[in-house]
Amino acid sequence: MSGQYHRSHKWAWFFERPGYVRFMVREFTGFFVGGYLVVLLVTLSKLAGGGEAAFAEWLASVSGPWWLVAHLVALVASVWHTVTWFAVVPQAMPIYLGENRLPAPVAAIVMGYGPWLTVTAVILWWVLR
Amino acid sequence: MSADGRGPATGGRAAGRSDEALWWALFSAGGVMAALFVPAFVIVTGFLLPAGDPAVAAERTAQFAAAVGWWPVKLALLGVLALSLVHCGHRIRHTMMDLGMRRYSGLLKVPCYGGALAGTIWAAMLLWVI
Repeated sequence: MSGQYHRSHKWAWFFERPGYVRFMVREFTGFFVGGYLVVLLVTLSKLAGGGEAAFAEWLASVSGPWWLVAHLVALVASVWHTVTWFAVVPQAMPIYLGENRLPAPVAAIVMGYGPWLTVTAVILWWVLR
Repeated sequence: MSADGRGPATGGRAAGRSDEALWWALFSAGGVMAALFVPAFVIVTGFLLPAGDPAVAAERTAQFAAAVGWWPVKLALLGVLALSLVHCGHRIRHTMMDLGMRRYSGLLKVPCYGGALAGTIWAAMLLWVI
């Protein structure tokens, strides 16, 4: 149908090289971040739906040990997404100052880690103040 | 994102009449949003709100509700959620393709992008009510 040729391979092809495994680990963050976003939507639905008591009840159930483990996994996966994303940004969107290309680590800080830490600090400050 | 191996032409169709470029642009924008916001969101809803002490949890819940109830935050949150959902849908679709489902690349759009769209509509409805 497509007229394109795809070499057939085992589904577990990515175990062949460490670089492929790293690639797959990065890709799998999509499942965990997506799963967390669904939980976030459920959290918002509890806030929208049943008032303070229902929301407190939801928070009490989410404070169980398995939920904590799940959130820990989601946190690790989302931070890994962030780190790998900012590693690629300077390659995809190089910044030039005149003739000189901004070094990748500087670009990652300016376009990635700086805004990330700022956003994270503001959100955490708002909830904790 | 050339290191990604996901140029606009990887959708299994000729690049000229492919919609892959659109999904890839949304994937890219969503990747930025997820990178900037999701770790903080996880810390807040996964660890800070379900604090053991009910009084502390109530205090943080009030702060959370006040923020989510402010319309500029609602708009921003809807944008972040929509783009992040499309990002995850695209990444999951391509991961499934990489794991041997490439022949179903078209069919996979239904759950992946359809799910992202459904999540976005749900988020919009929830934020409208909150």
